[in-house]
Formats: sequence, structure tokens, C-alpha cells
Amino acid sequence: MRQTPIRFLTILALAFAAVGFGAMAWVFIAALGPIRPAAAPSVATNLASSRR
Amino acid sequence: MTPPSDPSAPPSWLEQRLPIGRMLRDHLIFAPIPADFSLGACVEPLIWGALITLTFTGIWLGLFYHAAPQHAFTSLQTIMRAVPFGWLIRDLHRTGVSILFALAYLQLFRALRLGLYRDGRELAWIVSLVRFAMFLFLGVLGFIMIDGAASIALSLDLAAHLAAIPLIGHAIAQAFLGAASDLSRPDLTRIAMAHIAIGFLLLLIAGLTSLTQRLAPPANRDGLPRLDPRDLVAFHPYGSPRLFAAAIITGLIFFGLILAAPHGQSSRLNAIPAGTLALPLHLDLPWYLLGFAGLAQAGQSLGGGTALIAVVLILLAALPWLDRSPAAAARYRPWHRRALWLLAGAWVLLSIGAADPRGAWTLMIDLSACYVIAHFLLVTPLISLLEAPQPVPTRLRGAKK
Repeated sequence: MRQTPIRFLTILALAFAAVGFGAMAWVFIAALGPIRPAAAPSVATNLASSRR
Repeated sequence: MTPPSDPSAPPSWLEQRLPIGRMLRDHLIFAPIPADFSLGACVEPLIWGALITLTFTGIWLGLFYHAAPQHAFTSLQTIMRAVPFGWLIRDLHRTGVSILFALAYLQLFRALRLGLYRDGRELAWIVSLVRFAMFLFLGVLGFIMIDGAASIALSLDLAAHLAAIPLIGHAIAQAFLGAASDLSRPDLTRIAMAHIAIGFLLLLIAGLTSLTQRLAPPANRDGLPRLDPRDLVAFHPYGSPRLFAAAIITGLIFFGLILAAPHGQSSRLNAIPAGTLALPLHLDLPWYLLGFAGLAQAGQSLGGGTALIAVVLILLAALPWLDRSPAAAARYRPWHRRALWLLAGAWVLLSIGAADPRGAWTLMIDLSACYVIAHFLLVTPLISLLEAPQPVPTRLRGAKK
């Protein structure tokens, strides 16, 4: 009789969780970095103020 | 797999002094759950997931938020445009609130359907209602913190409603909304501090909710007050795959909303900075506050609206003593079940009406609010006394015998 591969599913779940939490941790650490200096209020303004 | 609290295994140095592993095994990983553990039972852990997401993103937003009238709106624009991944963190926060409320409303309805407010679960029910009221209050405070045109409209409306409470009302409004004597502009420092402080307090209340639910008889789909020991199974591996599936479904909806419809839940009026020159004519609220806005509108006056919201919350808390039926779950009480669907319908109509309360919708709001009050005050007690429920089994219906 085949058994449910609990161990395999556990590893899969842990791998998913690790990747997900890792990505989030990376985002949170990156957010602490320097704020972009030339922050234009919109894409339109950004384009208008850029060099031709 | 280690069985729960294996007595033969020698505990580690840390485990001897701080048995956290044993606690996790006994109360989380191998906690006894009813054998009919369903997706609906996964809502409580998912609420925890949403709360932790909101706490962490909230701390990060707090690093860049300036709680001052001229700066709050600008600082949010900075978060959205200049802070690395600021847009993602803010969207996780505001969409997370929507997910949290969706889960909280689902859990309320599930509790009403399964009778999870009675038979030894009264305290857990009332604590969970306190938690829900805190969700609402924090939602309101967070919305005011955006400091857009819709925020100031809500802040003025909240101030007026609070001030309408006799004797203590004006003092409460001033304590929360700030020093301005006419309450025309909220003191964002107080609002922000209240949002953060009550947010952390909420974690404590949420812990108390989970604790009281763990100590109460296990929630099951047959509404049985006590379960046969044969109907209890370990959470892992019998319930964990279902929770995993529920978490994946919720996460997909969550990130789908963030990436495809980030502004879906936010008011367009909040794209305009708050100011007395741009006062909206009506409230523009997020969906999760609309039902209560409908109740406030159905009160016909400021005081009446405040009273109606309080009455509904009090009636919910009194539900264990209003429901006298021998059966708890709605699946054994056909008329009670229909009344509950009517209640859900009335709440949806109340919310739709409150989004744009004009014309025939004002009447619809009043009728829906009447039913919501009548459901708890008259319909539930009367049906529970008059209706003969179908026979309730002594063992769980969905369980393997």
C-alpha cells in the first residue's frame, strides 16, 4: 500500500516558506537603504524634466 | 515523526529550562483538532498571518511616516515612490487590511453558523468580538493617517459621532482626535500613536482570543458542546495540509490583489491632500467599514447612529444568552439557517447602500438595519424557542467511525 509522502511534503512546504520569507526579508532589509534622491512625483513629470 | 511529548526522549539543555518545544508540539503542531477540520477552521491561523504581516509592514511604514499635517501626505508619496520597495510594503499593509477584514467577517459568519458563541465558548466569543472591534477602530485610525480628502471627511464624521455621546463624548473625541477645539483637523501625532499602540495591544488581545479558543470546547461543524475523544485527531498531519492549502489560496489572492489591483481598496479622494478647500460631500470608505457606516446612517442622527453601532456590538456579545435552542449548529436548524442568510444579505445591502446613500437606497439602508437589529433581538430568540431542531448526532458526522 502506498503511503502519503509526509516527509516530502514537509520539505516542500519548508522550501516554499523559506523562499517566501527570504524574499520578504530581502525586501524589508532593502527598504532600509538610502532613499532615491531624485524622486519625481510622477512618471509624466519625470519624462518632462529629463534631458532631451 | 516525533509523537506528542515523547517521554522517552531526553530533553535538551534549553528544553529543560524553557519547554517551548513541548508547548509547540502539544498546543500547535500536534494540538487536538476535530476530525472534521475544514478550510473554515483555518481562518484563525490565517488571521494571525495577516496580523503579523500588518505588524511588520506597519513598523517599516512607521520609519518613513511623518505624523504632521503638512508632511503625512508627502511622506506617503515618498514611501510609494522613493523608498526602495516602499510601494510593496505599503501595498502589503493596505491590502493586508482588506484580507484581514475578509477573514474576520468570514470568521464571524462561521461562528454564527456553527454556534461557536455558546456551550462553554461564551468568553472566547466575547474576546473575539473585542478583537473585531479593535480591528474596526484601527482600520478607521489607519484610514485617517493617510491624510487625504477622504481621511479628513472620515475624521470629521468620527469626531461628530463621538461628540454626540452624552457627557463624555466631546472629551473622548478631543482625546483621540487632538487639540483643535473645533476638531476640524485631526492631530495626526495622536492618531498615529494610537494606531501603533493599539496595534501592539491588539496582538495581546489576539493572543487572548487564541488562548480562550484553545481552552474552550473544540469548534466543530456539528456544533457539539463536547467531542468524543475518538473524534479528535492531531493537527499534524491530519489538518496541516488543509491549512497549507488555505494559506496558499489566501496568499495567491493577497498577492494577486497587490500586483493587479493595488488601488482597488483605496479611496480615489485620498489622492488629494487633506485641506479645508477640498472637503468631500460624502464619506468614501473602504468596504470593511461600509456596514457600520450604513448603521450610522440608519440611526437618522449623529447620536442615533453611534447608539445603533453600539447596540449591534452589544447584541452580538449577548448572543449566547439570546439563543435558547438545544442545537447549536445551523445545519440542524433550518429556519435559523435561513435567518442567518437573511442577516448576511441585509449586511451586504447595508454596505452597498452606505457606499452611495441616495434615493431608494436610504430606505434600503433603514430596512436592512432594522433586520440586523431584529435578527439578534427578536428573530434569533423566537426561532430558537419555537423551532424544533433536527436530531443532533453524538459523534461528528464527517468523522471516520
